[in-house]
Amino acid sequence: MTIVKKTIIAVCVVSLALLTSLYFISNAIYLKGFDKIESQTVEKNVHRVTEAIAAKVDALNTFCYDWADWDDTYDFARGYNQEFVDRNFQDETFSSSDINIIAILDTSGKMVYGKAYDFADSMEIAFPDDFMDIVAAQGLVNPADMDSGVSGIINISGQPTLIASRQILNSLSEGPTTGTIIMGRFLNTTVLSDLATTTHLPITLAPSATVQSNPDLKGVAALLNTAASVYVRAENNGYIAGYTFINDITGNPTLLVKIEMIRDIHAQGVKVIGLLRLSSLVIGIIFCVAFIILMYKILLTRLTALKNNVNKIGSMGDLSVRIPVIGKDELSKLTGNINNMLESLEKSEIKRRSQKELLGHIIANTPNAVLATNESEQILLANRAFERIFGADEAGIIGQQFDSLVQLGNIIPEFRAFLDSGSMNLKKELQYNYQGRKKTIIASFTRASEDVDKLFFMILTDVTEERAKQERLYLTDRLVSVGEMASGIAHELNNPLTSVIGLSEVLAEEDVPAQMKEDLSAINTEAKRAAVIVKNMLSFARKRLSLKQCTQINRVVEDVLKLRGHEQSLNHINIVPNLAPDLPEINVDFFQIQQVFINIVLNAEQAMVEAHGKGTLTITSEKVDDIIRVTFVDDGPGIDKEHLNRIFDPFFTTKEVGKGTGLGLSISYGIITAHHGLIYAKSETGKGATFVVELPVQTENTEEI
Amino acid sequence: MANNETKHRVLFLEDEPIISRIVTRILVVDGFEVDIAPNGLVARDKINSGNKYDIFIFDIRTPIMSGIELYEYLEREHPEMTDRVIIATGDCLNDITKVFLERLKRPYLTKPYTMTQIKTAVRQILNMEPIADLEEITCP
Repeated sequence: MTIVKKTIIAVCVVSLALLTSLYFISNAIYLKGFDKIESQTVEKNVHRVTEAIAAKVDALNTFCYDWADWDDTYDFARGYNQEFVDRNFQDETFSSSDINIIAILDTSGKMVYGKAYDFADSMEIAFPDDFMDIVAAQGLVNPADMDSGVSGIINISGQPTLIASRQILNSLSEGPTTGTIIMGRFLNTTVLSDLATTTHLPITLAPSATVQSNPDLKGVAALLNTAASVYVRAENNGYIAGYTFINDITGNPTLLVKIEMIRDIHAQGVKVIGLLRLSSLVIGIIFCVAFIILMYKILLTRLTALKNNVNKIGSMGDLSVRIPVIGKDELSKLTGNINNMLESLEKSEIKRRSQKELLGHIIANTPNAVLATNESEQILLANRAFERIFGADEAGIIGQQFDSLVQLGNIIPEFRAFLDSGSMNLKKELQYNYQGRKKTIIASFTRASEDVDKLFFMILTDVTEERAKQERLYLTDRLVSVGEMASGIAHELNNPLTSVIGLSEVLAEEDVPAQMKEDLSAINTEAKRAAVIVKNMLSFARKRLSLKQCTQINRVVEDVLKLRGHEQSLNHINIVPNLAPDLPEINVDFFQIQQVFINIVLNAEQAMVEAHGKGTLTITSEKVDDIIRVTFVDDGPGIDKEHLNRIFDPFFTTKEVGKGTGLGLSISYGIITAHHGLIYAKSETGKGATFVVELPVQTENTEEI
Repeated sequence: MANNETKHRVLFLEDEPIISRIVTRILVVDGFEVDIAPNGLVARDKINSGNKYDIFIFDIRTPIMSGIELYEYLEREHPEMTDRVIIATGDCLNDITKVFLERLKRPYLTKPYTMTQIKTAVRQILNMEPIADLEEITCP
């Protein structure tokens, strides 16, 4: 979700929450406040009604007092007097003073006079039957308090009635009392409308009997009995009602007063709250819109622009792009920081790339074969040298399983063993052998990391030539050191040999016995033989200028065969020449190569004659790739295995003493090596010997050897 | 040839006394007068002290002053004498010797040489015979 959306939603949710709380708070505070005021008003009005009733009682009591402390009444109570009745108890007395009942009792409590009148209908009515019983029971006869009498409300014949009772005294309010005067006024609709007029309230009165028969009022009565003196209740009809009980003279609740008011205050409250909510909603909406617009203008559009810019850079991968910086606020600083970050990223990326390129170049151009695989043995990388050595297509093998490269031959099990071993490094010299290709390889296996992405790689170095060179160098070293020694010895021997040869010659010319002459000749011959050996040693030891010329190798072979032809036929040596007719001429020293061939042929002849007095020597010449190969195969006794790798060592000979110097093949080795060729022997005891001379086909002229 | 006045004089540069003795003996028998110099310096002094020599035989490896140095001296000081020099060497394969001999284009003897070879070489110089193959035992 975008920040824009989030912001809009957040602002809306917060505003909504605020408005909702305002809704409930307004209900809780404002409406309750209004309702409390309403309820208090109702209560006050209820009190006004009860006070109005109490005032009516008081007025009745006062009226009753006027009659009680009067001499005429005083006398009338002592003895009935028709004249007093006629004069005072006319219907007008009742209607003008709103009195319904007047009763005068004597001191014994017996009623002297009693009259009931309905001033609403303006007619006398029957005096209630139960009046005397009720007043007696309520203690209204001869009330103890002479000053204020007894007043209150009682039920007469089920009709609530205001009542006042006083002892009758003389006009000076002195006794002794002659009886009791009781006045009553029915609490009927007339009184109620009077009260309603006084209080401006619609009033309903319900006597106890009515309350008991009405379940709703019964519930209200129960609440009033247990709790407050006034009970306020909202009615269904849009009015609010206040209830209270008015007690009778004995203190028992006898009359339920109910007033009703239109719920003006509540309605006003509801209206105020409605307005408040509406205005809050409007303000909230305006706030939201304004906030969002401002946020959008100040922050969000710029954030979005920044995001888009960063996204663009990310998708293009172009770290050289910079985001334009506008203004000087935090967002501008952030943009600046991003730019700085981009710059350092760009720098490190350039550095990383150049390092990667450098590494790539190094890996690609290293002469060693490099192959990297991941944990599942998939090839991740192979360089050119690998391609060259193993004939694999560098790009085509990426992603393949490494063991699918069958040309790796025995390197596969070696690498697998390394993987299984769990070791970090392994360096090993291997004899690689695949389909007849033999190589000496130093394999270096490495486990790159212990991380999630495991990387294994092998570096294969082809040391075949180095090993061969080392081998040759070793032999050459031996030849050189032996040669230096031989040179010294030869040189020192030449002088005494000159003397021996010279002296024996001179002496032989003297007049000496024939026997001695023969001996001197022998001395001379032997010294000369020694001189030949010395010369051979020197020629082996010394470099000399060799004269290279374009030479047909076949001619060298033929020359050698011509030289040896006579001897060979004497020794029953059969020569089988097998010379390729179209060999190119190569640049070699004719006489040196001739010497090599003579050495080989002589050795073969000697071996075959010694073994079985005859033999066959097959000489083959051929061109194989860029070399000319001359092979000499004899059917002599062969060369013992332990001798085979020593035959090119100087002074190594199997011939009996005096028959060989042990230098022939050493010299031959020196000559062929100097021609950048190869000379080697293959043999098994009893199966003859094969000598092979390989010379490169080359075109350069004379070369110092 | 026995005539004193016609006797040819040979200067033999050789540090090996036995070889000098044998060569002297056979050359004296043939009517030569042989002067021995055990080193190049002695030989040079002999040449410079007015002695006339018909033949010079120089061994190459001699003490103090070698046969090569002496020959080079002759080339500088007495070039007319150089075509009467026979070089004898024990080591014709030595690089310096080899270069020297190739430059010279003169007959040379390699040790061990025979007396016949010495006599033939001397005779060839005297008779101005063309240079023939002197070597019985040749370098390879």
